[in-house]
Amino acid sequence: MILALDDTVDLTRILLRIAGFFRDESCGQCVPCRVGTVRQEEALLRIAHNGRSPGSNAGDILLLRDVGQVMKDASICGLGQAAWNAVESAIDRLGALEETR
Amino acid sequence: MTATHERTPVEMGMPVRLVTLSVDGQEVSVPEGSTLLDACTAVGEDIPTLCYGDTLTPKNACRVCMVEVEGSRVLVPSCSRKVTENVVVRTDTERVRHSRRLVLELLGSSVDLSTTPHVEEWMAEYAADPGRFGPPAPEDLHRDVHEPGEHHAGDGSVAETMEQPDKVDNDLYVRDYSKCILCYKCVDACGTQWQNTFAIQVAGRGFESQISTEFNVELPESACVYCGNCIEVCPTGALSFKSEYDMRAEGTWNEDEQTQTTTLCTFCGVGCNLTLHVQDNTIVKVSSPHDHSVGHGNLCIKGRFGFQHVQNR
Amino acid sequence: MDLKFTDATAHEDERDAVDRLIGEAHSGWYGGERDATDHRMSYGGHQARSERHLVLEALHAVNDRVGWISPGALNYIGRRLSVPPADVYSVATFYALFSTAPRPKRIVHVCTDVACEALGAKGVCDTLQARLGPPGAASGWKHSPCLGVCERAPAAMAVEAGDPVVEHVIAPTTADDVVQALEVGPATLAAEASPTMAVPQAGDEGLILLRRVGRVDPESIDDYIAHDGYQALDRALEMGPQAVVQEVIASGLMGRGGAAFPTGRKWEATAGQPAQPHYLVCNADESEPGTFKDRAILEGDPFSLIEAMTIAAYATGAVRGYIYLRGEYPRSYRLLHNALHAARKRGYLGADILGTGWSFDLEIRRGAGAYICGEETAIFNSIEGYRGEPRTKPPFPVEVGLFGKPTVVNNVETLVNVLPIMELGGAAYAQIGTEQSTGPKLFCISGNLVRPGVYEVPFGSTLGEMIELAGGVPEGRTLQAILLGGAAGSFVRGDELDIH
Repeated sequence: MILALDDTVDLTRILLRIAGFFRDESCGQCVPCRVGTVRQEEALLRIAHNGRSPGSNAGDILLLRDVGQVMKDASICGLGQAAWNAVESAIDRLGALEETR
Repeated sequence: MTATHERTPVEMGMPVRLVTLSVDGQEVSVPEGSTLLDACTAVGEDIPTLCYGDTLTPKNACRVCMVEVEGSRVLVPSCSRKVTENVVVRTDTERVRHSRRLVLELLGSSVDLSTTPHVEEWMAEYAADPGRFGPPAPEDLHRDVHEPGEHHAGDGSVAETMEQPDKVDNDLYVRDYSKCILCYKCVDACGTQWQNTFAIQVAGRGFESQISTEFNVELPESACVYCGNCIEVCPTGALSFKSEYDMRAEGTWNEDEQTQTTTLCTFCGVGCNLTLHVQDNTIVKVSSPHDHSVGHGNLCIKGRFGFQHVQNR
Repeated sequence: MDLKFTDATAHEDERDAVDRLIGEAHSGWYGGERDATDHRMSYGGHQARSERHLVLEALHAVNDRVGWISPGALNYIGRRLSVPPADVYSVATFYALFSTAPRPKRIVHVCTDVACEALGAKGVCDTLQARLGPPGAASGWKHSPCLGVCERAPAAMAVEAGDPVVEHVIAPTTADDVVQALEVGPATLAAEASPTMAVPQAGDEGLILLRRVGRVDPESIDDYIAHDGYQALDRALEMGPQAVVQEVIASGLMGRGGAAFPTGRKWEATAGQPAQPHYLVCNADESEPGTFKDRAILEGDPFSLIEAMTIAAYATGAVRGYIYLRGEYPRSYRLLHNALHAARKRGYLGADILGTGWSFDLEIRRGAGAYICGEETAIFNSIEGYRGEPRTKPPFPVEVGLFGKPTVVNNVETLVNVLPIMELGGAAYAQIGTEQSTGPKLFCISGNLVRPGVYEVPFGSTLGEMIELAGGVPEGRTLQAILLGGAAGSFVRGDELDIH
């Protein structure tokens, strides 16, 4: 599946939609996915509301990485294991969310 | 009581093959069919567990007992994974500790764990900080209205929780789902694994899931028979005797001052064992030993709650 | 079973909806009127308890008829199928297309997922919010995850409960269309665009998987046969089951659902399981945001899936197959339903298929709005009438699958690849694509592109070539980023076009 996004698209909204999607679609059986998808969305919401002043999101990005890792390592099924893929790639490959490392 | 125990015949069972594996570098042999958790316990590793129940089929939902298994892409739930020959298990790697810490943080930030045994020690051991996700969201009055696939996304300033009003709808026990980690043990005990009453199930989906009767009707309207076998298996105190709930509210509940006496239930001839929890010469709750061959921790309403006559002095 | 229910009773139309699915109730033990003999004799037993798998279908029946599932209707379903009411409730509250709260008969699900978001869903929703109020049961419109019509984004699905239910996909949609569906009814909307719109290559020479889309009448088995349909099955029946498995192994076909497991090996492992019966499940719960390739086949060439499943069942010894179709694909459901009926009538399904003495039949099970049901073990729970929660693996489906029996689960695209393998032979098929990844591959290309759609490309094409195929971004725009693999996939930058 290939989804092309041009320069008119607000990438943060797309990331929030993906995070909201996983929160809605998590079955709720295991803790990493049930709670992790909620915490992932909350952190992205904070970042979206914070704006992107350099460095201001470092704490939330660390939190996203921690939560993403446990979803990937400890979820029962592929949904939880993949719930952080898109956000992770947006941070690492697109430089989205203005990480200052 | 002890006399009957000595006369119980020893069950031999079929001979079982031993499986040898490695746990944290130590070689250990355990009977075929054992779990990784059994093997870890055998070498003295203390693995935290929450949703694991000694009388229930592992649900491996809480993910606090995860270990690393060589060759596995993801971590493995030790409570349910069976041992295999020569498997290499590690219980204390960086990855395992990270996973335990995060699971504890996620649970601690969303559920009231104040009456969950051992959690405080684990939080300290894994340096978990459940407060890092922000201040808890206020109590939700609509957790029993289910619209799967829908949620209200706030601005991320508060961390969503299970916080909700306690369910006090009968004189025998209380359901405080703010303390519920959704381990499914009560559902399994009420359903096919023990009681076959089917009064409760998980309703809703994802973070909005709740243990519930149909349409959230109160227990007296539901199929509940008040066996209390759900209370017996609840790992967090979300389900508790009304007596315990009231005493906790008054501030008089004190486990250090309680004695536990195991005795035989006198209501019928089945032979269930009761453990009476007594504080100030009053029975405050009743449990049942899980290793007893008759009931395996299960009772009926009479054994579980029929103790008031003892106290009519 | 001796179950306890509340006093709530079902209305006439709720009962009728359930009865039409499972027949009249013959005694009090099956949820009918209790008479004097019912007190002295119990009926049903294991047989009554084995009806659990119909829970989801019964919930659909009621939800389709009245728009929501009332306490009385829930009790009736429980009584008829011998399932505790708390269990029925737990299933009903798992699926997004069902409502356990009263709601109007007309509901419109407005897609706000990634492809629609990129093409103006926000504008539609902002207008609806101003005109109808915030989304929810009260205002009649709801946000929806991907509806799988990304080539015509932004999309919506309007539903009007009744007898029969009216389901109508609106794509592309406007706020006016949604308001019209709610105020006048979805039946008044213009007919849905042709399925061929999803396949810009339709009619091109050299296509394999999509060759019939746009050329064949998806409603006609005769037309299917006239377009080389059922030749692959003939070939398979000549070869025998073991040879079919060997041919699929030789083809190198790998599962197209994401895990890329060798299909032939999966079939071989299941065929060899001593436990009986074996089952076949087609995963048509295509819910990954931005994905609509299954729909292109189901709506453009539905008989091809049925033929492919018949071959798969023959090879793996399955006695029964299930197509688990996502609930948001009403046209696919209608066309598949028609195709099954036609195939049965012609002896391609059912008892003694084409006089070989071998019997196999298929049924469609509709999902009800749960992405997780595309997970290969959650799909079993859903078909069996439970919440669509994934099971713990191991054991794996080849050993313990649907109803606890050895089961092959393949998705739609994987299955239809079996037809060219039978027609060309495994070795010739393996020449297509690359050495590691054989065969043709379907790509769903959507977003800000001139010609979004499902494209058939051999493995090995670059991302840039595929973006080019879809016409590139509109004049004057630049490519910012590309999401690969859906919500569970990854982003790459707009300039990383040399990725394979």
